[in-house]
Amino acid sequence: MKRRNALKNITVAVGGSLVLPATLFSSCQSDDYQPLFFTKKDLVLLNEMGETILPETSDSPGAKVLKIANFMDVYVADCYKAEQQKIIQEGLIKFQKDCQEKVEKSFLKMTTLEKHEWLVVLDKSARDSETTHYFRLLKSLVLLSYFTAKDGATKALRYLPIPGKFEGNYPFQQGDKAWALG
Amino acid sequence: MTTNQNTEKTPNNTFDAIVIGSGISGSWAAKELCEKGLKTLVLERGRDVKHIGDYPTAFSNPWDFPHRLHETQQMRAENPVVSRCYAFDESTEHFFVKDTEQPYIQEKPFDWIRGYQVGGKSLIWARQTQRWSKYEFENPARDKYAIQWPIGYEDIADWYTYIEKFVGISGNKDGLETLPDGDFLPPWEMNVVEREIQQDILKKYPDRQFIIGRCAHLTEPKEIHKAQGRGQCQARNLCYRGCPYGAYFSANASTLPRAEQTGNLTLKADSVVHSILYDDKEKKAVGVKVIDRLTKEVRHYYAKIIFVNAATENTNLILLNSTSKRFPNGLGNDNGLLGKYIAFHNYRGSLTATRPGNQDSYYFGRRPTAIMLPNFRNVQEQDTDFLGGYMTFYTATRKGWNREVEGEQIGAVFKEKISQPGEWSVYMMMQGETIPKQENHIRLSTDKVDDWGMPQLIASVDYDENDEKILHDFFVEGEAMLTAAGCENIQRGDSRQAPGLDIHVMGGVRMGKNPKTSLLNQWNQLHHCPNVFVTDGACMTSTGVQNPSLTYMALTARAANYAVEELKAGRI
Ligand SMILES: Cc1cc2nc3c(=O)[nH]c(=O)nc-3n(C[C@H](O)[C@H](O)[C@H](O)COP(=O)(O)OP(=O)(O)OC[C@H]3O[C@@H](n4cnc5c(N)ncnc54)[C@H](O)[C@@H]3O)c2cc1C
Repeated sequence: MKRRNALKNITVAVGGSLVLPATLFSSCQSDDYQPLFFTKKDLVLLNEMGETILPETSDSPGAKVLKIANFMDVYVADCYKAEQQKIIQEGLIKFQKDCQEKVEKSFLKMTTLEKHEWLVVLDKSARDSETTHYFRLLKSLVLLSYFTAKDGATKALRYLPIPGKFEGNYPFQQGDKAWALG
Repeated sequence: MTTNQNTEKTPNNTFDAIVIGSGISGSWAAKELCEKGLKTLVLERGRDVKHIGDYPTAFSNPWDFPHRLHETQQMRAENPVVSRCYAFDESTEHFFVKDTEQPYIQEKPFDWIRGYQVGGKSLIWARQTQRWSKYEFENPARDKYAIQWPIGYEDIADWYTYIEKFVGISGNKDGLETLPDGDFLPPWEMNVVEREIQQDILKKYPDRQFIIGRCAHLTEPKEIHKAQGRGQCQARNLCYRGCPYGAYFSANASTLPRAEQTGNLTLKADSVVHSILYDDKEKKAVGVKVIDRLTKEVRHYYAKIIFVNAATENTNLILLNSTSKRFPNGLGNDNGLLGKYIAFHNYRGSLTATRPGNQDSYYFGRRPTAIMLPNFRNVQEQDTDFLGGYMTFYTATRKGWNREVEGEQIGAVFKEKISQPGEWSVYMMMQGETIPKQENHIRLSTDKVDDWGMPQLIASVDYDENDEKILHDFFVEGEAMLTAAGCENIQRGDSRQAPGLDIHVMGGVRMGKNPKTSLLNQWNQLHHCPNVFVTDGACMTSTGVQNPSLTYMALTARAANYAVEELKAGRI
């Protein structure tokens, strides 16, 4: 909370551009990040799930090095409704139990392939579920946290803060990235 | 006693003209009056906002914000009203009035969206600007759903041109009678799919020509704009944060600096106008009473003419609060109609769809406008079972990462797929006219006041049958047009949003020929107090279907120039 108030107070404009000292955000980037909603152990697990959903690929980093769990934590703490928080909280407990029951080891102990196959199964049942499945929420948090992070937006997508012009017929070739800003 | 010093007429607090409000319309009044040599005082209730220097978020990235522009539960709980405005978020909240700042009473659900600062809502508007056509001026009286406008298109056409030149409006000359062309800068482009949709619709409906939107953006600044220190639009679409390039029209970037250059402008921020002072002996308005926003000190200012440009709701509030022996029910309010015939725009309906194909085509940059269709209902004659009409807008974009894809939705392949744009999706929406009705009104609370001792506003405005019919017509026609354009998965959405959220609230001090049925004459003067002019949305006799601010600007410049002539001739 304090961190965010401080943020508001130091938004100083110099010649129209916002100058935010890089150190300000270091607290949420580094390992001494103090979670608001999850436990520190949860964050480790969430980063690992994130990496399985959005792994490192040839041209962009995976979710884990971006520490996407930190923003997921802020988002769940501040933007989620109480009933969504409950689904997530109970869901994480169920997830860990299911890992033991269905794959017979904790998620962190699984091989990369086991993690992938297990989340594919879980994702399918989440999408088929008629009620709000915790994994559906978790996955959309992973996507949001990844693609709106600096490295996600600039490396997995094309980030163009100042296009300078608009073109309505811009060639697109298979493989070209989407724009980060709608 | 300090009170006397603050309220007695002295050379220091006396001006030729007073303008209440520094937003889109007030800044235009100020510019015109100053340019014509009048010593002009602009009173603005909000804080000062300097162009560029006070746009703290203009260059921030999404990840610079604690919630990356997403709404928090706290924000919503503390601001149920303003958080419903799509433009309100972490990057813009400093330009919006928070719910607790100035309470009001919703007799019926009403979302009052306000921007209190120097520049008003000109910093946070969506900048879409279409001229009215003769049909908006004539049809309401023809079809008997409003009194007759005291002016027609021909009275305002040259003023539109005058405004467009200075503001800078991009658009295409389409030659449509229902949406007259203006003095345009180069138009924005449609993308490939938008163009195909336009052509497909035109084939099936030759009288429904969608056009590229017209908006207050400098696509190619001319000398007149460069002289204002304004530059070309960079297609960033971060406009609601304030534009450091001055590329869209805001009072802060354009009209206020121009007024200041004349040396005739005095701008006082943090000055809440409480009421207009009427002198029973002189039989005219002589000045205004102001409460200092911060110290709550009372001050009076005096002038020969007064322009009221506080935006519709506040203009009504100030006039209703300006009581005197002569006008016990509010300034100029002999007929009891002040605050009545409030109308707004019906934005409830939207349609979403997908359109297969065109996977080899994309777009570059973020265009600040949409594709527009002028009203096609009840134009030449009353030809439907509802009154008035509506405009239709659409855009086509390719889906982003937040989508489902085929195959596994976990892992490297999934990540590659959603990092690329998806299929085309189409969004269509309406902007409907609503009928001005006596029962839709604004009045003052008799027992509740705000922090500045002003009576609280009571809003009593609602939809009716006609609005439901227009909504239904939009759904049916919109679906038919999208189908004709090869769209699939067409889905209806009814936001059921409360009146007010359209931010196009109009009326309460309407113009008209007859003082028995209107408050203002054809020059926006109060019939019964001709040195007071009202030229914001409050003056509107009917709402039309266009985004309204261009018309407010044209009416304002027209009235201001008339006021100067009348003043010089000694008639007011
Ligand atoms: C998100 C959004 C999108 C919009 N999109 C469009 C669009 O695309 N096209 C369009 O035409 N319009 C649009 N609008 C509407 C447009 O902003 C208004 O029509 C326009 O600003 C009205 O001009 P105005 O001068 O009447 O009011 P404002 O610009 O609101 O200015 C009024 C000023 O008066 C001041 N004031 C109020 N009360 C007092 C008082 N008692 N004493 C002193 N000062 C006072 C206020 O603080 C304010 O600065 C949009 C608005 C919003 C918020």
